[in-house]
This record gives sequence, C-alpha cells and structure tokens, in this order.
Amino acid sequence: MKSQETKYRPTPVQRTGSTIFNLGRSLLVSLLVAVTATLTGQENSNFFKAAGTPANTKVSISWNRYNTYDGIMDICQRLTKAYPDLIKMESAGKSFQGRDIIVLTVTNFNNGKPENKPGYYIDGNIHSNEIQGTEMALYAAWYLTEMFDENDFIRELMDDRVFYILPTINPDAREDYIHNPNTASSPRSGLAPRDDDRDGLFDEDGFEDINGDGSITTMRRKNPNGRYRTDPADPRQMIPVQEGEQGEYDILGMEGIDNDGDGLVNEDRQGSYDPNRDWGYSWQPNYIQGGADKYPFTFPENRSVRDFALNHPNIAGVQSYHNSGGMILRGPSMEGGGSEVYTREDDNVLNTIGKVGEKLIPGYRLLVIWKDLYTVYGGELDWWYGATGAYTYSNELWAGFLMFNDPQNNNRNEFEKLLLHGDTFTPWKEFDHPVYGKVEIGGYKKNFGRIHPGFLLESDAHRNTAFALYHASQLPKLAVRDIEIKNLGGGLNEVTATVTNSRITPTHSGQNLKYRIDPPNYISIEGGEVITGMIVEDRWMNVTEEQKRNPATIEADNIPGNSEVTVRWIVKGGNKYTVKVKSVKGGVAELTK
Amino acid sequence: MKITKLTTILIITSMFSSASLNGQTGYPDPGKRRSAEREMAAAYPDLCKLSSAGISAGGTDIPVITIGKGDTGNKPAVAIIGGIDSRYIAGTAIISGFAKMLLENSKDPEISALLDRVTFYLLPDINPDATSAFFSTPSASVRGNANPWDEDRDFSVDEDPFEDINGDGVITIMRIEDEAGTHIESGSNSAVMVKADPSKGEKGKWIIHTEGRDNDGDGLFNEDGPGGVFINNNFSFDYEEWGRNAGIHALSENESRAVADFLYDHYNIFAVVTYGPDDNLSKPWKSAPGQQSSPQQGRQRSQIIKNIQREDETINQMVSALFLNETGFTGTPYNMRERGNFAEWAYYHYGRYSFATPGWWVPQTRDLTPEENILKWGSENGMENLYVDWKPVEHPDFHGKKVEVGGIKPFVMTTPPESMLGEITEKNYNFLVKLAGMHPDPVLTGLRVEHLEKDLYRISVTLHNNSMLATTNELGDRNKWNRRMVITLEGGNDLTFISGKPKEITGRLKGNETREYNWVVRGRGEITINAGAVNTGFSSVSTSLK
Repeated sequence: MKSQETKYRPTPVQRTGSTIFNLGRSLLVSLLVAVTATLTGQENSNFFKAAGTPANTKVSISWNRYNTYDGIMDICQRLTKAYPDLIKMESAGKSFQGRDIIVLTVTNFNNGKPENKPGYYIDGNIHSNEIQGTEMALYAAWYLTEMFDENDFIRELMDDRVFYILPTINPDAREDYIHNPNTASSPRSGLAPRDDDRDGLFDEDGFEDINGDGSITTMRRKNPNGRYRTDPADPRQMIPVQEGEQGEYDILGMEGIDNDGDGLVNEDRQGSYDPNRDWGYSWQPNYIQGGADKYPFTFPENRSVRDFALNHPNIAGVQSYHNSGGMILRGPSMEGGGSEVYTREDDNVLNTIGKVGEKLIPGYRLLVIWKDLYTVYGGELDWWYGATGAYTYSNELWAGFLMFNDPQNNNRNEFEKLLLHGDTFTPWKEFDHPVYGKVEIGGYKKNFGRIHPGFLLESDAHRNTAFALYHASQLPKLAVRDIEIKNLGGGLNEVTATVTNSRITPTHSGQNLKYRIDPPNYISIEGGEVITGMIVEDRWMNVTEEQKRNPATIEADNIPGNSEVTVRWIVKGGNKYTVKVKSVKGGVAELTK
Repeated sequence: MKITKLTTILIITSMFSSASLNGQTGYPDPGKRRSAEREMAAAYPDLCKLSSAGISAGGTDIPVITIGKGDTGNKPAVAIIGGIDSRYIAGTAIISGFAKMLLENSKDPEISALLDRVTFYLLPDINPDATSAFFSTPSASVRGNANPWDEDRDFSVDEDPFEDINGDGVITIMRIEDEAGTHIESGSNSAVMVKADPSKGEKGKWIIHTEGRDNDGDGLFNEDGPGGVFINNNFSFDYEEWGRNAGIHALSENESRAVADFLYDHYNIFAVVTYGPDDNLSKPWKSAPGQQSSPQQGRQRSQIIKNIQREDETINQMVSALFLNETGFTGTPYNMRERGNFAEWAYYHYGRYSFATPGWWVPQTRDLTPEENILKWGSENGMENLYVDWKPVEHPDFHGKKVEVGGIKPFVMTTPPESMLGEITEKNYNFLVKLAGMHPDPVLTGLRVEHLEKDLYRISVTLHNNSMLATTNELGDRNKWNRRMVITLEGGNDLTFISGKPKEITGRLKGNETREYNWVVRGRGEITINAGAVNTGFSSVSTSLK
C-alpha cells in the first residue's frame, strides 16, 4: 500500500503549473493513483511545489552532499534514462587512470540540431579538491531537464540553446580527494606521478593519516617557547603569540612522516602540477608559472576538453567552476593580455553579464584575474576565450559571506561551532611521531573551509546555475526580419533583408574577429537567380558594399549584440524568397516572403 | 682524434650515393638513409641502437639513434636534433655522417673513453613530412608537416598549392611584366629579383609570385598548400598564438610532442645541439639587464625570461669559440630566427644548454642580398645549376601578359653541394666530440675520516665539478625538468647520524666549483658516499670506519 502511494504520479495538467494539494492518504487519492500511475512518468505528489524548484521530479537527487565518481555516473544515467529527448551522455575521452570524462548534452533534441544552436559549456572540478563545481554542473543539468515542462523560460532556453555539461574534468583526483586522506586543499593536481623535489624518485613522500580520521590535519608539539598558544575564544584553535607572551605549541605542519629519509616531510606528494596551468594559450613553463608541466595540454583530461571544444565551435559561452572565495572571474589573466587584449566590445559584454551575476549570487564579486587576483599563464579560461573566442567566466564557489550573510563576519570557527555543531573538527590527540616524538594531531577535516556545508550547497548551486542560465540566455539570438521586395522592372527584384540579434552577445567576439576563428555569418537567399549581393551599411543614404564572389551568400563578419545587419540582392525571377542566416555561434534562422 | 680527410670523405660518400632532382645531388633519400642507419646499427650492436620517438602527422617514423656503452640512460648525454626545417636538410646528413664517423672511430682510445662517459641521442629527421619535400617532384620549399592547415584562414584547407608551370621539376619564381610592378632584376645576378628602390630612381617592372596558379581565385598565389604546421614555429618559447603556420597551440603537433617527450623522458641530457635555421654558435645569445632569473635580482615570479642568463652566456661564448675554432667557419649565417623555435625552447623551457647552427653557411658579403651572395659564391666556386634561367610561359591566370618562370632553385640557399658534405661533416664531428667531452663532471675528492671518540667519526668530503659547464645551467636550475644532484652516505653497521643527513638533495655546482660536506656519525664498517645526478654522472668514494 505504501509503495503504491509513493508511485503516485500527477496528471500532465498538474505538472504544467496548477497547484497540487496534498490530500493525504485518503481513499480518493488511492483511487486516483490507480488511474494516473499508468499515464505519466512522475514519481511523487506528496509535495507542494516550492517556487522555482521542480517538485515532482523524475530523478530525485539530494543537493546537500557530494557525489563520488560512481555517484556522478548514477545521476547522469538516471537523467538520460528519464529524459531521452532532453539529455544525452557521452565520453569526451579518458582520464590518466582511464575513467571516462563524461559530458552531457542538454537541449530539446526535438527542436533543431544541437550543433545549429548557440552552445553553453559548463565544467567543474578541474582542481581536484574543488569538488562542488561538479554538483553545481549537475544541478544545472537536473534543473534544465526537470523544469522543461514547467517553465517557459527554461523551455525557450532548451529550444534554442544547447548546454554541454562536463561534471568533472578531473575524475581520478576527485576520487583521491574523497576516498583518501587529504586536506581541504589537496590534491589540486591530477594523479600523473611527478618528481617534485627533483631527486629522481616520483611521489615518494606523501601525507600519512596518523590519527585515522580520513583527513590530513595539523601536527603540533608542546613547547613553552613555541610561537603559538590556545585561542581563549575557541580552545580548539591556536593563535600566534604576541610580543612578550609565552607560547605553548610549535606547529609542525600537515600530518605525515619523512618517507624517504631526506629530512623533509611530505615534500613529494601525489602528482603536484596544476591542471589549470596546462592550457594552450599564453602558456609559460614551471619556473615562471608554478604548476605548469611539460607543455600545453600535457594531460589527457584537458586534451579531451580541447578536442570536445574544437568539435563544438558553437560554444559561445563558458563557465568553469572553481573554489573558493566568492568570485566571478573573467580574463585576461595576464597584464596587457599578451596577444589577447580584450576589445571594448568584449569588455562590455563580460562586464554587463558579470554584473548581473553579482546580483544573482550575493557575496560574489566580478573580478579581472590579472588585475584583481594574480597573473595566470596557461589557464583554462584564457584558452576558451583565446582559442575559441567564447565569453568565459570562472566562478570561485563558496564565499565567507555565506556563513552569516554578513560581509563583516568571516569567523569560520564560530560558524563551524554554532551552525555545524563541531561536525568537522577532529579533536587534538597525542601520537608518537617517528621524527618529532610526542605530537598532537587535530584540526578541521577536508570537508570544511573550501567546499559548501550541506545546507548551503543547494542554495548556491541554484544561484550559480541561474547565472549560467542568464549568460546562456544572452548568447546570440538571430532572426530574419523585414524582407522588402522592390520590383526594378525587366524581371529584376531588389530584395532587402534585415538580420537581427536580440541578445547582448555578438555572433563574433573581438578575439574571434581578430584571428578569424570562425567563418563569418552566412546570409543566403533562395528563390531566384542572384545577379549581385551586398551588405547595406546605410539604408537611407544607399551606402553599400558589394560582394562579388558568391553573391547569393553574403558574408557578414559580425552581427553585434542587440543590433542588426541589412543585406540586399538584385535577383532575376522568382516571386517568393527565403532568406537564411547561418552562424557558427549564433545559430540559424530563416524567413520566407 | 686523427682522421684523415680522405677517410672521412670515403665514409661520407659511401653513405650518400643516391641522386635527387635538386641542384644538390647525392643527398640520401629517407629510405636510403634509414637502411644505412640499420646497417650501421647492425655493424655496432654494442654501441648503436635504433628506436623511434614517434610518428609524424603524415605517418612517418621519427628515428632516434642512441650511441653509447652500457647503461646509456644513466650517463650525461648530448641530444643532436636535425631536420626540423626542410630547408636545412644538410643538418640531417651531418648528423647521420657524425653517427657513422663516431662508430668507425669507436676503437680510437679517446673516443672509446668518451663513450664510456657520455651518451649521444641523435634525432636527425624530426620533421620527416617536410624534409621529404626535398626528395619529391616537383621539389618545393615546403616546410609544414602533413597536418592539413588553413594558412590564410579562409575556411578552405589546402586549396591553393604550388604548380610546376614550366614542368622543370622544381618550384621557383614567376615574374609578370606589369606597369605597377614592384621588382627589377638584381644588378649582381639576373636570376635574383630585388625590390625597386625609388630613392635610386628605380621603377619596378615585374610582379613576383611563387610558381603556381591562383587555384581559389582570391588573388593570392600558392598561399595554402598541402599541410602544414612548421615544427620550428610550434614550440612554446615565444610562441606566436594564431601564427600563420604555428599550429593550434604550442606543441600541438605529433612531431614537436614526440621530440619533447623523448627529451623529457631522458633526464640525463645536459646539452642539446640543433642543426637548423637557428644559430648561437657563430653569434652567441646575449644577456640583458633586468632579465636575470635569480630572485636576488628582484625578478617578479611571473616575469617571462627572454634573454640568456649571464653565466650561461659565458658558456655559450666559450662553446661558440670552440665551434668556430674546430670548423674554421667565418662570419655568420643569414639570421633566420622565427618565433616558437626549437633551439630556444631547449634552453628556456627544457632548461638545458642549447647550441644551434645550420652546420654550414656561406659568409655574407656586404651589400649583397642573401640570394645574390650565394650565387656569387657559387660562380666563384664553380657551382652550376643553382638557378633556372627565366623563360616565358603561358599562364592561364595572366592571359595576354608576359610571364616568365625562373630564379633560384629551392633549397640552394641553405644546402651545400654533396661534394662538400664530407668536409663539413668532419668539421662538425670534431666540434661535437669536443663538446660532449665537456660534460658536467662532479667528482668526490679529499675524503677524510676523523676518529673523535670510541665509535664516533667526523667524515668530510669535497665535491668538485671538473667541467667548465655547470651541473645544471643557471636558468635550468630553476626548472623542475632538471634533476638535482643527490649526495648519500650509506653502509656501516647500525650507522646513526649525529650531524648531517643520510640523503640530501644538493644545489648545483658551477663550472670548476667545489663544495664541502661533513657528517658526524656513530658506527663502524665500510661506508660509501655517492653524489651526482643522471645529467651529471655519478661519483662515489668508500672508506672504512674502524
């Protein structure tokens, strides 16, 4: 009986907006269940829809925990099974250890070819410890599919945009972060072995989880001349001693021993390169850019994304999730930008959309990487913009602001104590250390400090997704309007058409135009013999630029944001003309008159 | 090394016996060269191994010849690279010839001793798709690999190749008589076209294009032929993003990655010598103030280093002097430096000593263009066949116009005639052998044991670098792809360390530099101190604590 109730599915009418009242376990409902269960694919109606969130989902997902690689695969498989017309799953390639780099294509497959729609790309977790980007990316996939039938904005997005969602770009080291002892900041790297201390041995001296709590915490040692003492406000914590004060402890570093007997602890851990310094635009070597490896795209994970991107030139907007600090990062990442100086138009687009992001995600600030943060060579963001011309952001997820919604209060110890009830702190405990003798080990576990606590994860996932969806909505939207036909006599017609772009993003960014990354927009006419064709620069003063080669297909370099391009043909014969526009990043549109 | 010129020439000419359609005949085509290499490896199985660094875009093997004795991977090594730019096919021949000479002389006590200490990795032909152009008909100066590439970014790929309009088997120049012409014949040699100089009252008579058709009707000739990314523009130092033939990103190509991977996998390499367009052996690279990498000089971490470091500059000057002395070459080759080149990458990004030369050149005469210069040199030295006389042709893209095809043949500028190869190879051989003999050489000396008390000993030793070269160069020391020297003290019975570590990663030694190490240990028995790294070689001393 109970299991039958939970299988109750609402009618299609209820799903598309009418309020569903929970009528309890009455006989009436049971009767209804029997009728409707066979009609729809929905799961449960014991719920009252909270605004802006799908209540009657086909795929239930808890957005207050983190997913292992198997968990990610499970979510992706359930979504693709539940919504075969809205989401497809493929592998973009293999990781270093051989895991599939899963990419989801999310769009209304019943409305046009995906490759003919402006594309929006989302990835997460390029830094292995920055795992919540994955959940944010999965939330977007879930939200787009589950809301498709309920919400006009989402339906329109799914009709004329395509989302490419890559939940984790670094699955090997995500697994390492989750399953093996780590700090909140390790591993940032992937897992290809590297000789960090250049002694000829690879990864020979990593962390040891001496206290066995699954995390790498801090080692301290009692010393009356140490530089630290107990914090009176929170005795779990240590604070530096002030001038004239007596100390209590030395801090010895993170948990570990000297595995190779060279007098150093934890000096050659797993990997130790930066996958986000591996991208082939303005790349620099390791002694200039820490974390860089042999050459651009040393690592198979990034090569998979590169190849996916080059095979999907329709991607016009990108979000690559990191943590932490509450930032909406945009390029350029190096002063002067090298060859990638942003044009004023590109600058405006990124600032206009980014400012909306600041509003949608309180506590997050729009920042230019080199100017407001630090210089980065070989970063993913610069590659996307530099090599594909796509407008790219990188959100640094999780902001101190989210703890108390108070820009003045960044006290994480207080937050952990009062709101997480000490859940993430391993108490100090004494151990015998092979090098240091009697030490105490304790501190925050790896799931505190950089990734969201459970109760804030869904909220921030929604806000960041809302920003991604807003950005996606502002990719070019092209339409052919106002075909004007003028009879010139002698069987000749002058056909003038206007192609509009009703969104902020141009079809071609400044970078795209500068290096001719994509072909121009092709505006073509069918329905007569084209004698000549031209771009109309000023319709009223009759300023035109004729295109002598292949005039039936006018090449328009760019259709700027919230703007239009007018073209004209002199055509022999025909009485009905179809004008089509085809743009790599702007999609397709046509009109017949 | 005493090798008579006659022997050398016999050795070399026996390798290069095939002919090609070029001005320079006798260069072995890749098939001939490879089979000669196989015979060589078979003749010296203990000294010579053939392997592959990878496969070119066009599917051709990128060969590696390893010459050395025993545990070749654990001795300091010189890597010698050729064929990166098809115009410098001579480098490929020089490297092949070097291999053969080295093996022929391997019984010579000096060479035998050298091969005890040093390994040679020879990669004579790292861009085989392009170098094969030298042996193709028609022969054209094609520099790219076989990766289809949209040179003019018109979204058609490889749509406008060269054509051999006059059917003579070589792609040269077309000149079209035109009122708006920009070029005239050179006064020095009519095969050379030079730009008219209005300041001298000259008026252009001809328009110049490479030989071929405008296949796609865009007004440009041969601007997008088959292939290709220029491998010597595809490396990451000073790489030009979106450069014309630079590839989709630095090291995007099979060839560049194959070579880089080979080098990164061989930590024992201390120097790279490149035979190609780049040169720092006739004209050493120059340091610049504000471009020193050491943090004491106030460098910001993110500052890109674009000049050689001072200490490395000194070494470059010394090696350059050695090269000029051994080869007797004078002057400097015409400057062909391009962005993204391999030779600079080997220094700036791979972090090794990097030396580069075309291996042969004609000294430049003042006031002559390089083309005029080579033809003057050719006529003075009895070379014929370096250019094609201008002859009128019917050209379908220039109906009713006077069009002539002629001019310098491809490859002439950079390729010595086959008759000179023996002598050129011998000169380069002498230099390479001397350079390899200069490998970093840390040696443990002056081992001292002081008996302090009962089983307590103080041990001291000096590590001296016997070479002029540093154990890693100044810039490379900051680069994680260079190994550091490790010094270990092992052995003894229940040895405990009172002072000093059993294993220590230690800083580099400059040329001729010395550093002292001390331990205080407790215990007895035989102990061994070992120091070095694969790129410097190892040194070891033993003694007994009693």
